[in-house]
Amino acid sequence: MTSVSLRRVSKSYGSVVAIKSLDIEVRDGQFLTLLGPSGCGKSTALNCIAGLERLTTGQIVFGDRDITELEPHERDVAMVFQDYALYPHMSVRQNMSFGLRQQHTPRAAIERQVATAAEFLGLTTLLERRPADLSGGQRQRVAVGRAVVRNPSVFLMDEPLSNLDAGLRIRTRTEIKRLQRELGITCIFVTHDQEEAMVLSDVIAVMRTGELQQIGPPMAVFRDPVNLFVASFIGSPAMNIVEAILEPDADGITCRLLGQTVRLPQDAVRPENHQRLSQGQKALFGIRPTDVVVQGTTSEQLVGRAFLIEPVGPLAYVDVDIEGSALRVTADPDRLPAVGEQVTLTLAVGRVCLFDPQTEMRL
Amino acid sequence: MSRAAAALGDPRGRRAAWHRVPAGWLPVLLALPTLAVVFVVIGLPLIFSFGMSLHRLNVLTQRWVFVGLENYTEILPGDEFLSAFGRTAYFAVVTVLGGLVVGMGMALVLNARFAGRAILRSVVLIPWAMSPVAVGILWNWIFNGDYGPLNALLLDLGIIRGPIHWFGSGWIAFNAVALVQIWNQAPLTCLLLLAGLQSMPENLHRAARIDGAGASQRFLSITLPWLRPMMLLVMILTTINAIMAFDLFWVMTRGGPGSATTVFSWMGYAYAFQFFQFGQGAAILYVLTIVCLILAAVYLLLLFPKAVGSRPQAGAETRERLAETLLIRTGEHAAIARGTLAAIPARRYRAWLDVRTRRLLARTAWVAVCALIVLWSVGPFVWLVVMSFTPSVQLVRSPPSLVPHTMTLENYRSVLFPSGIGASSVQAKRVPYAIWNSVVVAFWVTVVNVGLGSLAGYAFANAGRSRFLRGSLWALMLTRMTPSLTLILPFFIVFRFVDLIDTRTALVIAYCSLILPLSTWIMRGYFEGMPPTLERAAMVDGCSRLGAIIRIVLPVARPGLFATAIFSFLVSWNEFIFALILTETPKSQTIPVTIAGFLAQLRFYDYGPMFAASVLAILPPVLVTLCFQRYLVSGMLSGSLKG
Repeated sequence: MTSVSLRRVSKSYGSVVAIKSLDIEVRDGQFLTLLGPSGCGKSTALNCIAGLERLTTGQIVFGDRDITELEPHERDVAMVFQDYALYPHMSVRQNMSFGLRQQHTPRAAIERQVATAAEFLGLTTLLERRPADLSGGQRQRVAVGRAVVRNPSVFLMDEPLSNLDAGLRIRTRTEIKRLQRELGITCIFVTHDQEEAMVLSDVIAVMRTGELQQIGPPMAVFRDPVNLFVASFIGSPAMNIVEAILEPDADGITCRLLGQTVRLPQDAVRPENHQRLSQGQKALFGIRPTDVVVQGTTSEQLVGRAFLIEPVGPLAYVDVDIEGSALRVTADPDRLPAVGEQVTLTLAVGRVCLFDPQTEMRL
Repeated sequence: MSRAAAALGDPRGRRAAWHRVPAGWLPVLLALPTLAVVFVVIGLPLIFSFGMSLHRLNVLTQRWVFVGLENYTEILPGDEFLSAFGRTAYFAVVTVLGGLVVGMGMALVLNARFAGRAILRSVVLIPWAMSPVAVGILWNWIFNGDYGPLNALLLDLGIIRGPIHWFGSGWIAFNAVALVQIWNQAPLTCLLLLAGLQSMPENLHRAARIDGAGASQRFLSITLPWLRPMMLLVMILTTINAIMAFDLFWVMTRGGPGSATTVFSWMGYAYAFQFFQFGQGAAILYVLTIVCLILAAVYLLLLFPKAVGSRPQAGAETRERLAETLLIRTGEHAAIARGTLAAIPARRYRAWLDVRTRRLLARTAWVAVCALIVLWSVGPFVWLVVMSFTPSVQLVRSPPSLVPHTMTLENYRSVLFPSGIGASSVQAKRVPYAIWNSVVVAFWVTVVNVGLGSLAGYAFANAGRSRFLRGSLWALMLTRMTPSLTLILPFFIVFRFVDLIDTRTALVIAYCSLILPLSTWIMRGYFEGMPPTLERAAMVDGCSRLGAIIRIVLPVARPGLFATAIFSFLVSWNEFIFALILTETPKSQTIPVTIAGFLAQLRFYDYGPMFAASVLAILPPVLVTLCFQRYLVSGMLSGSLKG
């Protein structure tokens, strides 16, 4: 149990830069998720923390201990791999005790530790089996078990859920979160699945091409993305992005988009950007499908024609054609419009995000 | 129909014209030619040879006399047989273990990531690509008691006073042959182990590193167990190669001095083709065959045990889901766990050298090991090339020295353009013919085997539940373990009878017995690895089954065809013993026989041309191996592993 900080960590392979000056701070017992598309450097970052890759520059500190130059096993970390990396020729018991044996833990202590961890993960009846005789979910639990027995100060998890089928993945997700809470071990989790990141984390760090984009609590990242990349990467279905022209005045912003107008409150633009705003400023107008409802009650409305309807159960997504652009919105599944029908859309104007089309940063 | 669908149009038109063969019969039809050929070139000779082993040839009357098992009962308990058996066993043990150690070392180095790895990977294959005859000639010369480079090196360094006659000692001679066999075979071991290493998930080692296992600990407890099936395969392949080894003995020691290097295969050869006691020879070779088949059976049993018990039982998934649900409900476990899971402090190791020195040392050791591998693999080869440019007179300097005086192209001129300016010896004049014969034979062997092998390979890959095909597949696998020496005797007698002896046709037919099972296996591996939906997709798109094979399956299997072609070429180009016995004149002699011919009538002025001819003989296979290394590895794997 310790805090982890990455200070200006960079890693390059020859001329290819995998991570650019990463600064991340994880408090003791926190659950941090490194989130990003493949190739964004999140796994490299995790391998650097584990000591499997040597940093090009920078420093990694656990608590008050600089561990940059230490070997992986000296760092007191445990890792769960995407493919689990269970030793195929060893039984579950041997797999779980291998690390402890390498640390020269007394035999009795190893047995106690393995028994506790196994009971805790429901592996007791599987202890003598080989990985080949286990199902995917069981293997995943053994991999977690192998990490748990070490009782490390930091858990590292590299997409540990991506090889499970959908239902099991959601259950195991819950399980991992509970485990981490109960053990109180600092955890760094890598995933490309934004929903997984939202559900699990105390803190999400969104990465893109080796650079940190935004770090913060899940809902903060979701509601208040710093740039277009974060906005469109987080949330499913993805945020609608349309081009707009802004006309700010004394008590709000008039926003012309798709041949119609929407009135936004003053705080749709961050205070520091108010000065930069000019009449006729071009912007990218982003709003999540869940924040646009077919036939609501507020006054800010758009009109369009429904052309594709996807009921998902508790709500339905409706693709609306406005002036040749498609906008994905939500509707009450009990009062669905017909395909081709003219619909009125209500916007939650407080949730609109505006981006600079050049820099793609928030306005 | 929507606009989009209309835009796509309706291209229904031609129907497949080819009449459909009932689905189950196509594989059998495709496999039939290969099975027929294999039966004729392996099955019949085996039966014939067994028959011969029950007879004895009366030299005076030229009549075969039935003697029952007398050939066996006479030879089996004899001292000669037992000591030959013992020598074979010793040879097998030494070469298998030696090859494993050397091959493993090279594979571990080649598995690491470093600049120049691709080059090194090609380079290690050179000894394997060379034909055994050329290898034998090269090493025979290296160990030569009067002029050999080994003596030369030791003399140059001042370690010895006068040249040593290495092969005067039976023990040294025998172990020298074993060393050369290891040199020749280690690349095969290395390649297979390397493939095993590369299939190992990288994360296994990462997990072990986090668990705190050091490099040697990881090798012992992760790498070795992972490689176990591959090592078993390697051991069996190299054991059989060792038991069947013949070319090296023929070139290097001819069973001598005395009988110090008379192994089993040499004994059989000597009885049959030196003493012309065909019956006894056949009996000895038959025992050899049986030993090989027993080993093959062990191979099959060990490598492919019935897949019982290795699968999770049915219902495991459901039970697991149940357990999963239960687990979530019983959250209080965690609270217990927090109290009972002890904190295990991470152990820190005190290094006896600081990080920088350690890295420097590791780097130096690494470079040294790489250099050693290059020296081992290329050194003898380079020396052969150097000698091929050295005038014969200087090759037989006394005392010998490694420092060459002059270089000349004369050796190459005398073997390539014997009718040009200057004289060529009788043997040198044969080299151009021999190269041409080798090219022709290799070409036809490749064509026949790629053709038949791919048809049969496809058939076996789609055998489904056909009992006939599955049975014959195992039979094919077993025939790969038949020592070619056993087949030679019947081939020799039958070809003489039908007047095919000393023709290239005879060689092409005989080589099918070596290559056809192999090419079928390789192609089967490729076809098995292909998604079955591919062919179905083609059939849904309107191809007939045969059309689907020709237009979709064959193009996709191109790497396999390539690998098969390379193997066919390599084997037929390098083959020696068939060619030695089934040919008599330059009309059909291939290049290995011609080089060996230099040895038989060796005159000092022929040394230079002999080495030039050897370089010419190994150049094509070495180049092919270096250029198509990638296909070789995959071919070797699908030819030997998947089953």
